Amino acid sequence: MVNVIKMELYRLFRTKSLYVTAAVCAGVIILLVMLTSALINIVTDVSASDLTVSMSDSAEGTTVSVSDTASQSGGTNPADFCSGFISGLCGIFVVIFTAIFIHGFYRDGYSKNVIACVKYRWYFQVSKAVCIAVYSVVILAVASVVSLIMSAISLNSFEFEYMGVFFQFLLGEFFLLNAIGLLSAFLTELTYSKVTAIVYILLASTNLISGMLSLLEDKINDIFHTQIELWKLLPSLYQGSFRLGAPDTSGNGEMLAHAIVLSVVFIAIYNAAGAYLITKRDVK
Amino acid sequence: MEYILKTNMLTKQFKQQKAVDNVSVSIERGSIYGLIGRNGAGKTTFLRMIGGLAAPTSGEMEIMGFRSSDGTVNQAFERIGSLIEQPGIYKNMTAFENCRLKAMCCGVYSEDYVKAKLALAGLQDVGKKNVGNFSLGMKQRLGVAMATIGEPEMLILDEPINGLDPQGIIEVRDIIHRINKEQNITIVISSHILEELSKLATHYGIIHNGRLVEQLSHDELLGKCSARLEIVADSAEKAAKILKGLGCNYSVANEHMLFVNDNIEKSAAINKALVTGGIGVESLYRRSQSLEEYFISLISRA
Repeated sequence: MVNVIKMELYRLFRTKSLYVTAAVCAGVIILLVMLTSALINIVTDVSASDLTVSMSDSAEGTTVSVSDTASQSGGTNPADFCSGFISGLCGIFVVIFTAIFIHGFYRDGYSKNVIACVKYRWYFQVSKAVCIAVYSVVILAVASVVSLIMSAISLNSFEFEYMGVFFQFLLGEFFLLNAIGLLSAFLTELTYSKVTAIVYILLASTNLISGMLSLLEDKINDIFHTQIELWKLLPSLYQGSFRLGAPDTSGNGEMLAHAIVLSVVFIAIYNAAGAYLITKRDVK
Repeated sequence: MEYILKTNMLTKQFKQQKAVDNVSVSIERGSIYGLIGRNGAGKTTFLRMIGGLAAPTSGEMEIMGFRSSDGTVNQAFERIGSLIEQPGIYKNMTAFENCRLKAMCCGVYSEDYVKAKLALAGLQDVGKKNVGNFSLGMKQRLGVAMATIGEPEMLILDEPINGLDPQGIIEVRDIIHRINKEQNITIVISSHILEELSKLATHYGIIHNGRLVEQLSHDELLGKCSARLEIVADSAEKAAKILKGLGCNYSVANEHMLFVNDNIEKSAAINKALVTGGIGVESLYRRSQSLEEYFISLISRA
């Protein structure tokens, strides 16, 4: 099994997609941070809630002064600021890269060369899961480093006391990305098509599926005079994990626990179901 | 005589169609076994089964002493190298990297080993060129080289000379010969280019519509394709009795045609005996049969 893992890791680091996706991710984050920090600075400048108004009476009359208190307030939590860029963006790249990487194993026919060379075919499932985890680390590292650097440069102030929370957030993100990547890999292996996995996951992550269910439930409720909420049929973990919005960065560990559970569940599903598929199906 | 592969009533069925239908072959260790058949005859499906890429619907295999009936045959697949259909290669990687991947999977990490395999296939000078830019012949040679990684005891090559120019065919043929002679690797090779196969194979299996029609050695095939008398008579049945009386080795093609495989130099005496016996002989002539003609005649009778 170690040989198979080494083989796939060798292939991983010689795949151009790894470096291309990392570069694109970095470029997108740079752009987003620059845009976002410009907006924050503008809003900060004009935000009424950050202004202090004081009046004083003097012989000459009443003096009204307005001062900007934003710069006097606490600095920006990197977890809050960076999480919005990292979460959804990395999820998309993990899905796309995983689908391409897994699909390449079958599309190019390399599977025929090696599948019969090992004692158990499920070794390949484990090796792909390892590669997905490694890629998740790589993309997360690139995204977090770039966003931190750009944020530190762009924002008026940046509080490094929140870095502990930020790293906890990154750890939770790693497990979430792992779970998403494994689902993408499973769909790719099931259908031998990278398009299926990419389209399904992207649709799910933009809440289009739950949105469609909401529309459907209105019709059903009208017709049958019921009060059901179809979207609640989606597992709550799924619902919480595939949105593109910024996840919880309060650092209270709930998200991390949630993410670990999700990752473990998908590891089990991927390896069990994938091992069954790769063992029982004829090699394409 | 040691057999490296034996199959017994091996069958592969896809929905209503049997791609391989009760095929029983025996392949000697160290031989080059040529599997001959038309497109869609079931060659590739059979090779995929013995290579561990497809599970049989029914029947048994015994490879290197490991049997499918007791579930140990997977251990044999680890000792088989295969090139089935198109070579499985990553087009955006170099030849070295493609071979290195296979070598790593087999537990071999030596770069010199990979370079030696590339040299075996004549690809030692391709440098950092991506495989996607290789010619068809180079890709086929790379596929053969990759199939030999891990020092397999048996090599399965599915139409390795398809689409190659004459130079490429010669190169692949030389590689196969060298592998077989120097490393005593048993080779199972399929093709429908019969003349090329006849220059390589020591044994043949002819497959048609999923069924094994005939299995014979190279010498036996030569015997069947060698010079013979072809007799067209008004009654093959009556002529056969006379030939039998003469002690000739003959075969009946149809109700009017017979082949006499020996005593060819006695064609005049045979003609006289037939005419004297009241048989109307329309034609009698000596001819050799090419491999293609033998194959066609066999298939038409199957």
